[in-house]
Amino acid sequence: MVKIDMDRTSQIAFIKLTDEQKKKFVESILNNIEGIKKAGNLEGINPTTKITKNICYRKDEVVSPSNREDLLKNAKGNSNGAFSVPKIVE
Amino acid sequence: MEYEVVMGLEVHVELGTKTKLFCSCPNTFSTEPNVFCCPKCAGLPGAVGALNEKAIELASKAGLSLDCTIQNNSTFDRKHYFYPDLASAYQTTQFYRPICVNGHVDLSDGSSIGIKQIHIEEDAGKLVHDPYIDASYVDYNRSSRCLIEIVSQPDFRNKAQVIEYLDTLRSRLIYAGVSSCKMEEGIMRCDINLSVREKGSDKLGVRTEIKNMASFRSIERAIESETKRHIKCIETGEKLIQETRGWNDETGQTFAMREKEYAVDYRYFPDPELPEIIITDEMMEKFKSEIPEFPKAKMQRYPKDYGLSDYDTEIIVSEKKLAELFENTAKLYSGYKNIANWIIGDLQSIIKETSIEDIKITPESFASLLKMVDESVINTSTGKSVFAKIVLSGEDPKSIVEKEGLAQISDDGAIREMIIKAINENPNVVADYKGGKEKALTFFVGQIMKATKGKCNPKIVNEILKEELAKA
Amino acid sequence: MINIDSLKCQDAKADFALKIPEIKKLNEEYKALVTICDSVDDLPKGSLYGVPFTVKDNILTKDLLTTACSKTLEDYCPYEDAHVVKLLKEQGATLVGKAVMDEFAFGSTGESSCNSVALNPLDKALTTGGSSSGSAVSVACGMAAFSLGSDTSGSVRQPAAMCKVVGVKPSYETVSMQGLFTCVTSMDCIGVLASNVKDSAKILETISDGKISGDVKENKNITIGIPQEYFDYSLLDKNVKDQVMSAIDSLKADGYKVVPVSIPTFDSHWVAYNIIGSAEVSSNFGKVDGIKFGHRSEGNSWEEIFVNSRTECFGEKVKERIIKGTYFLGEEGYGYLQDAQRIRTKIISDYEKAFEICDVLITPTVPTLPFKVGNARGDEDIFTVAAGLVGLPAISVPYKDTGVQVMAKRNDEAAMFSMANEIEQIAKEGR
Repeated sequence: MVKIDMDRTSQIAFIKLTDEQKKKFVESILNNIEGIKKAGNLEGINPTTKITKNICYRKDEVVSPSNREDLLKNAKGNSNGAFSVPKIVE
Repeated sequence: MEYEVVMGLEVHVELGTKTKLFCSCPNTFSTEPNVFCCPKCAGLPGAVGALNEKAIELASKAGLSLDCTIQNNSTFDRKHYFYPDLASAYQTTQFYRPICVNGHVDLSDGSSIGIKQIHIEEDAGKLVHDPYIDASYVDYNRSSRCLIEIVSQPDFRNKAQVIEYLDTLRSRLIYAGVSSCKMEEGIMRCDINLSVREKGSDKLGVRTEIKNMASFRSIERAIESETKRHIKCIETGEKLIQETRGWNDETGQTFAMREKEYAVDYRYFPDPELPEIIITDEMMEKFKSEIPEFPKAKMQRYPKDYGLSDYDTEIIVSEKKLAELFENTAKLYSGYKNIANWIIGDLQSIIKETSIEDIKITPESFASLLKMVDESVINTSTGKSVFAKIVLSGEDPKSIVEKEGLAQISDDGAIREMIIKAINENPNVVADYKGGKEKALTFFVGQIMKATKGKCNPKIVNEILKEELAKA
Repeated sequence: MINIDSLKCQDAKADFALKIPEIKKLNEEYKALVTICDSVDDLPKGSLYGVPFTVKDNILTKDLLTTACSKTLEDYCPYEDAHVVKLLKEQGATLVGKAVMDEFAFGSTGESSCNSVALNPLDKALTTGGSSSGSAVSVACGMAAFSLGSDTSGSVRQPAAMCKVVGVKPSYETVSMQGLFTCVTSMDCIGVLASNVKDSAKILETISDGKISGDVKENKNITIGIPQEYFDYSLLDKNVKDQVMSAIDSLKADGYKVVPVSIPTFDSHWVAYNIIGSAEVSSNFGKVDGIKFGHRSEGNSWEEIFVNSRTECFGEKVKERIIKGTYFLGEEGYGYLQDAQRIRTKIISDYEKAFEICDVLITPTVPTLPFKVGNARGDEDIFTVAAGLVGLPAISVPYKDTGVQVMAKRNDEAAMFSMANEIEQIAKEGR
């Protein structure tokens, strides 16, 4: 029986969950795990992590960066040309 | 009880590319925040990344410079964590298949430091903390700049080895054109993993990591201080925690960094869209052919090929630009010791005020100038003043000599006339000379120098002067 | 519905100004759009001059709200157009508005939108399908000649089938994704919904920068493959099965060769997508933190702002994906993700084998007829997910009461469009 630590998972994901959601999501994960088990023998098969066929690389040439006002336009609480957060003590 | 310190290093080096790793934003420093950014490096929606081909080249060259094996294909992975300076909440790095593996650096004490791997990764942004109000500011100018991380094996046993290793790394990476390695600008920084054990033991002690060291002096002090701290803990039985520590230059101590209050799991996984880095044999050959000969090899070769002393060689090869100037000039002019002297003496003092980057003199001009002095077209002191001009301007010395009429007067007749005139005008000095005062000779030479504005051949002046004085 | 060829536009600006009241009226009735443009710019007289189109609200549009129907982006206003929108404007097409969708494209009914839920013009009690619900509706009710949507596991094709329009997903990475709020980076495509096959091809040609040809030609040499497992699916509605089979019979009668093929991994398609999709989503959505864009919740530290913004703004479906993905990327779940990726390798191989003996695959688009709103079974994308996992081009063509799906080899849009056009002809002829 697979044990899923939903408290830890939601902490890592930086999302707070209700108890109901925790229960629901655990069930969904267990469902998926069951599905994997039903898929049969996967030994010796390489995982496909991407399907891009593009092997072009970009030339090292400067293109004008974005205008700072545009970049910050949708950020709440920005000031002095930067995104801002409450003071961090490192 | 005798103790042994065991250390490994992780050195981060910013590559000398024009643009960032996955976007075409300039790789430039600015005091203004967020002026060199775009949606990709600032973590905004809808951005697509494209890998910088120059980063592949420079990372490969770093590997070749450190005797690594360059993998034919390597991949990018995402390392996930939340922090305001990490724009996309993941760092693109190479966890599973790095671009270079299994290198080494041999040190002068006979030891060899293994290099586990070199991998390419993107840098994070910067946080600036407001001194007055409750705010910290996020600047993404540095976000996604190209970095390589050079991971050593835990082969260091003392701080001298660490310094020599870092110095060798710097020198080779600068020579290979990979990076400027300017530690004072944060372009090269290192993390030190350190543990202490009883001498002779093969078990490793508790390891601590000192992060973000950016000067050789601080590194030496930090190693000393942290080693002492480990030993104290071992001897007093105080618990030594495996942790990350920072270095306080003022107190001369390391300090524990604030622990995170929440769980962290990097969840490494292969990036789902970035292509593999494929290095063909053709590319490899090209990169190899562009790696220059390193200082160590030059130290062996210069005394043999050019007859230079170790002392002179060391000064010249310490800077790639000087070595290149020397070697290329030596192809055109065979007075090797002469070239060395002018570089070590005159050139070094000229660029003391500016920087080696400002040198514009070409090997052709340098050789041409030295030949002009050898052939007495100009005398040595004129030569030096012309040299001072062309080092920083890159002008052709022949055209300066012509333009300013600096050619030496070697015409015996003209000089003899001037000497005779001077002798006739200064009978007292002649008498002094005849009386045995050699200094009187210097007076006459000085007069001729003045009359010719320094453009006479001193050797000829001396000869003719002695002749005429004998007659007088 | 609007046919591009039938549009004759002299003055796009004036035309649009005249049409706005009608569009607003249609929108009040069918609720397809989050935002309606109030005017259009001066447009170049290109090949699509004056042709009205809508864009799914997860694709960036300059100076026009792009919300992805999420509270997260409720006031997000981009400063530049997505690449595909730029290409359409360069041809003079007229942007009408932003189409409603399932929040962040997670959903197959349009019902998990933070804004309105679009209504099916065929029957308001029936589902529109999703996640490109507004896109399908805006074409179906005549607001737009075509719409841009996004398709990961069927989000363009499936609502197209439900609203009886054409919906096409191109081959992976033929259309630039710059400007799409991406979810599953290794599967996402920007697709097109239109009133007919030829129009959808023409638009795909424009937005693919010419990589895909807009020429639809007849090709009687195309061999049709019928994947047995699709038609043997236990929950496939008999009516849907019969209707699709009758389309295939008509094609046979028209001289096309039809062969049975097998996709042994069919039963694992869904679980592979579920796990891989959630892993990539959790990775891509980390950047939503309230600081750089979107809704910013209160908090005394950056951690609190991040957590509160993410907790308060993401709908439950989005949270579920992210949490599942976090688990499958984590130490405990990573093994299952790798297994899902191995299944994907097998799936790709199955389709490669199938395409050795045929040029296109024909299947139903959806396993059911349009169902009543609120009655989704959860398997709406079961037939459409493969094209996302394998990177294939796929199209849904309305036929009788359902949609017929045509899939082709990667980058063989020509065969796909050719066959889709044939099916459209058959449907027109009432066969």
